[in-house]
Amino acid sequence: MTASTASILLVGLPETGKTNYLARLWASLREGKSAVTSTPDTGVIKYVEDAVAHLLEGAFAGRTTLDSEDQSATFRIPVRASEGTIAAELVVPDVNGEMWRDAVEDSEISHRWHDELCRTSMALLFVRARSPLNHMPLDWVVSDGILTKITPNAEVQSRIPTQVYLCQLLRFLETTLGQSEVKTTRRVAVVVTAWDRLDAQQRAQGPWRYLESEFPLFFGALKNSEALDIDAFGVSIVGGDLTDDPGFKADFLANGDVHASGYVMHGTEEQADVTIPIAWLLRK
Amino acid sequence: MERGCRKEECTVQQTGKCALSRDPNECSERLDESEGPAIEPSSVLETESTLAPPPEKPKLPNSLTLDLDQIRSLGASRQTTLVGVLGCPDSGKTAALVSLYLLLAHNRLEGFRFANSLTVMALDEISRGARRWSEGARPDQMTVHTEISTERGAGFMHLRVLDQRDRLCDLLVPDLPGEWSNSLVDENRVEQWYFLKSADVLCFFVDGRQLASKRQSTVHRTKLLIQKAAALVAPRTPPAILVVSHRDAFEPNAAALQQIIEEAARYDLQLQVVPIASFTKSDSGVQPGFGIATLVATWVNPSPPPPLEFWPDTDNSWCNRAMLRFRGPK
Repeated sequence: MTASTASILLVGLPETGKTNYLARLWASLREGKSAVTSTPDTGVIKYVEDAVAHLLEGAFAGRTTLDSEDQSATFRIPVRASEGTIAAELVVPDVNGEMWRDAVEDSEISHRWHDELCRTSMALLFVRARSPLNHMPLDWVVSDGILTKITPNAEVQSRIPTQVYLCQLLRFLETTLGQSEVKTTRRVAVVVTAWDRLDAQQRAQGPWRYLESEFPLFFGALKNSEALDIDAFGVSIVGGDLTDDPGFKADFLANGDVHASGYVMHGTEEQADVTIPIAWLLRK
Repeated sequence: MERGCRKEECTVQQTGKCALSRDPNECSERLDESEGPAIEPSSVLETESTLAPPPEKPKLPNSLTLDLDQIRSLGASRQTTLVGVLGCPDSGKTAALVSLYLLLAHNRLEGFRFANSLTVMALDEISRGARRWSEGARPDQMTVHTEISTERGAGFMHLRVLDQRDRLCDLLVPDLPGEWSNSLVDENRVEQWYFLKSADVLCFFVDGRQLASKRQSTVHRTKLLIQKAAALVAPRTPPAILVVSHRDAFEPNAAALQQIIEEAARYDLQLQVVPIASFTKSDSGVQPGFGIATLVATWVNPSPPPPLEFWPDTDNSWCNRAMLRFRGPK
């Protein structure tokens, strides 16, 4: 990385869609028709090509199992939006989500990733809509009536709620991003993946409204962050569910085009270009 | 360099003595030079550490309770509201905090929204008890008894809330063991309570069940606590709240409350009564979290203390200074 080039880090808990977004983004960057483009020669691209291969076969890529400390597995994709915007590098591969989860639980992180956070001034923070891993425990204050009728799993109930993890990840970004270099604006794009899984009304209301209703603590922390410039984006990388919707999958395989599928919801406006969150980060 | 021995307990290599009391040069258990690496001489073993300490990883904010230095630093950077919470064990101090946090976590606190917290992990930790249950039955105790060693200072929770007029307020609320209030009354242990001198509002918690079943002793103890707190904050008279917990089980006894209010008035503390029910019994007809929004409103917008008399009337018969007696030419 050159001293004048900003970098973008992908941050998120396990199975929040970091790898699949990267795969879909890579396909768009290669096509060169989106708001954000990349130079063709980016070195070793096996990691993203493997992820794209899953999408081309009508499946989402599985969870990242790469060793987060293996520096040889890291490469950077130079990205640039229109003239006059910030040039940056996407740090690839995305770190497996377990590393971020452990960082919240232990309040510490390896030197390598701490340095990476401090050098980085921009990040994509991933949240997956309707994920079975989103943990929103019931309690005796707001779920009083339900708790007398059902018996949830005690172990699951004792876990840290997802919105608390997200608040902590945001705080980590607030306290570390750009600490080594403060030349560029410190920005975080919150990417709500699997946007197509929400019902039509929720989709129409946009990602901020979704975050407010599902994660009030995280929403409050995002809206009142004084350290970071933040915006939210709903992202569907192929426009449907390749795992649980066999009809969509069959249609995608027969007639779809991975380069033309998917969309981004920014505010209440739907856009076909999945690079929009990166373009927002790169604006001056 | 000495050769070692096949027997683990033999120290011939270090001491030159055979564990089997044989001649070390003749013993059949001794290793040949080709059989294993020679061990370093004892002097080296004694001076060198066998294991290097694991490398320390960079720390990230843990979002646990804040100490006094941290709240001073926070207070220097932004306007904060420090709530001085006092109350005997089981008076409901932690339960109120938990109820407040859980209401905010679900956007159910009327008139307020969550804006941020520097202690979100600590708040979540004390709330775990309110997520336990036993086949639909409520746990007897929703919160774990607060314990802090007496050597440690007070731990504060931080909550930034947004009111209906989009005004931000940074609340700092201590989560302290009730025993600290008892030792303040019984042993005059004031050293843990010096932070009260900076409190923007005093908050006395009383167990509503105790106020019903042991009225006289509860009133008596609460009066003593108010007296001690008033002495600590004097000459200031910050707004004061009397929080009566377990509103779902009992309606506060008006006469008892009046006695407490009158006691506070003796120290120029205007006491506002706020009944709450952090959690509720199923058949009580009271919603969980009852009164918590009102309580937060008293913290965010405390009723102002009575204005100080700018130039109080005094008996000036003692004063014979000419200037003070001068009334101008007649």
